[in-house]
Amino acid sequence: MTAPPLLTIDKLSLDFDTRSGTVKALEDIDLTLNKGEILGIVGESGSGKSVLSFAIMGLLDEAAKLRADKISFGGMALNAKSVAEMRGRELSMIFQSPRTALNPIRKVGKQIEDVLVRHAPLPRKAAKSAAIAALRQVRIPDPERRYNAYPFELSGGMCQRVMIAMALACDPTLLIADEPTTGLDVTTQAVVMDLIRDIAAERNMAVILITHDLALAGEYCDRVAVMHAGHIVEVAPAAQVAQNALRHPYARRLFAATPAASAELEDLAAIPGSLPDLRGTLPACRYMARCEIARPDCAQAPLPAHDISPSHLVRCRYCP
Amino acid sequence: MTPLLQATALRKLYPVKQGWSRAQLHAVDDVDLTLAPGECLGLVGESGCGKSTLARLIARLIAPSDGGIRFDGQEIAETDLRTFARSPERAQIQVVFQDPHESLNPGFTAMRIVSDHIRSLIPGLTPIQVTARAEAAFEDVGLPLSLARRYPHQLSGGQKARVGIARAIAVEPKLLILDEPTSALDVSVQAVILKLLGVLRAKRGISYIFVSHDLEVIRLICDRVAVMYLGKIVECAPTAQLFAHPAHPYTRALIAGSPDPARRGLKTERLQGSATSPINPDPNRCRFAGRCPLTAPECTAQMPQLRAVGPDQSAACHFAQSAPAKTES
Repeated sequence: MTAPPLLTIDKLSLDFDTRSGTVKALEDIDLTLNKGEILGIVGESGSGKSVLSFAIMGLLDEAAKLRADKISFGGMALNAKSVAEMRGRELSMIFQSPRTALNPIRKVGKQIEDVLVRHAPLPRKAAKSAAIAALRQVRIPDPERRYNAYPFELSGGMCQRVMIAMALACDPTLLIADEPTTGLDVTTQAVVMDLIRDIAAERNMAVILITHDLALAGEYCDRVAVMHAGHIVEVAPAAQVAQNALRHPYARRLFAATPAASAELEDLAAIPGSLPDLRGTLPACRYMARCEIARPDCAQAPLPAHDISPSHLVRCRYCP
Repeated sequence: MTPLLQATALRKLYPVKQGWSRAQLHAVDDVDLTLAPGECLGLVGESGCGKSTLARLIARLIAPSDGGIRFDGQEIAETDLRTFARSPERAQIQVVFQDPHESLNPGFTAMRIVSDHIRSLIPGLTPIQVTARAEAAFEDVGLPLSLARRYPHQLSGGQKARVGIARAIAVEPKLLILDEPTSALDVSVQAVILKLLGVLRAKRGISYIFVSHDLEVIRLICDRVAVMYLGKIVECAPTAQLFAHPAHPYTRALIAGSPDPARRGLKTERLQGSATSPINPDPNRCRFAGRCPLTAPECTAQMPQLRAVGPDQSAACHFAQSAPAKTES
């Protein structure tokens, strides 16, 4: 790797103060992302994958206490002010459930135009043709006609394409896609994911794909980060997923629980236990209570970082 | 072997208004289906293909527009829905609904949810017998009795799914209809529930109709799969055969669409566009025509009928090739 990474996160931690105590939502997150790279962040619900993307985008609630040694994007430090400048332009996001993320009473074309007028910025008149071009780019058939459609007139897959068109309208260098295909049919999911992958390749755009589906991340990403209870427990090249070469006990369990990875029902194995309560004191390794190879010293800080290869990092003391 | 369930020419049409004229939405159109005792049949298809409607028709939650359902030797499609709800067959066909968060009464404890169900479907049981049955059901689904006193909001997603299954099996049904039972759950919880369903089936000898849009889940749990497209069954085959030699182009597209890390970086031919409208479809045109990569003139001139293409395999396509005979090593 010669070029400096596009996004660097060093030791990011995030706490939420609540009435019942401090929730340690993220701890000790290190992450780098190169230009044009597709990184998958995989984990169960509650693992912190969405809140991490909100932290990058600066979309956190007031109750959030964010600490980090360094968050830099394209050579600039990301803070509340700079992220607000970049959001919608260099940084863009696609949300889960396109139907609720789109304004139901505004034509989809107008909604894309609004983004262009606000962020590009383009004058209203020029924005219309740019919006139609954006719709054409996400391969929506007959974009001139769809420009005038309301979200309820479009199918789920079509709405998601409108969301993608909106996110891509200002040519971002980083796109965060938060479960972009949840709720879509498999055939539509495949089309939407192909589209994201192809556009990323065309524009050399980096993508963070947040998903609970390890098989999906394995197919479309370059690298995969597995999260558990606010920690990134493993970062590996995505090819390792298909080869079942993930090392962390949680990542291996997550893979074994994926129907696509099992030949028969007997091979399917659930992950014992459940996510720990993120309030109060936690052992250094938050997977310890569920782990089959845990030893008493797993509770002791710091959480070890174990390099298998320069691009493969595991945060476990005892995994093979 | 006499089938447990036999549906013939089952049809459900919903009247809709199209401008000033009346039209009909063909949710389920002329479906034949059989299910052997103890068998697990998977129903797959995109959203809106009618798989849930078909499941509800078989469960007698909605009345068919046309067609017959023979269950355990009896014709049940003729029975009026209200009469059926009080008939002994009601307990024989049970449904586990899609979203465990939405399908449990929030004002009842888990125990009451299950025991109320037993009381209303099996009259004449003493309170002690009802409790005993409910406790047996909780034990079978692996839910500790201490949790049975809780309300749904105090249970996790996986525990709620177990309550939904306990409710259905507590009345000892012969047929369990599972309508996307794991789609709202995390993968690890899904794995637990799928394994539980496998164990329950072996232990209680229940037949399953498993509705899902997830082919990988279907592959693990079902013996036979019926693929639906716009209200029609387009292919039906034993699971291994369907995945090894899909005969219908839509089945092939479904299989190619499910994510697979082994296909990294490969360009796959995808289905473009969306399904045509199910409102007043042209009876002489294949429903998949236009979206299908094989579309030819005969596809828009004549509707392909479901025909045998292999030993147990049937497909509704003019171009379905007979699959090579199954040679298991």
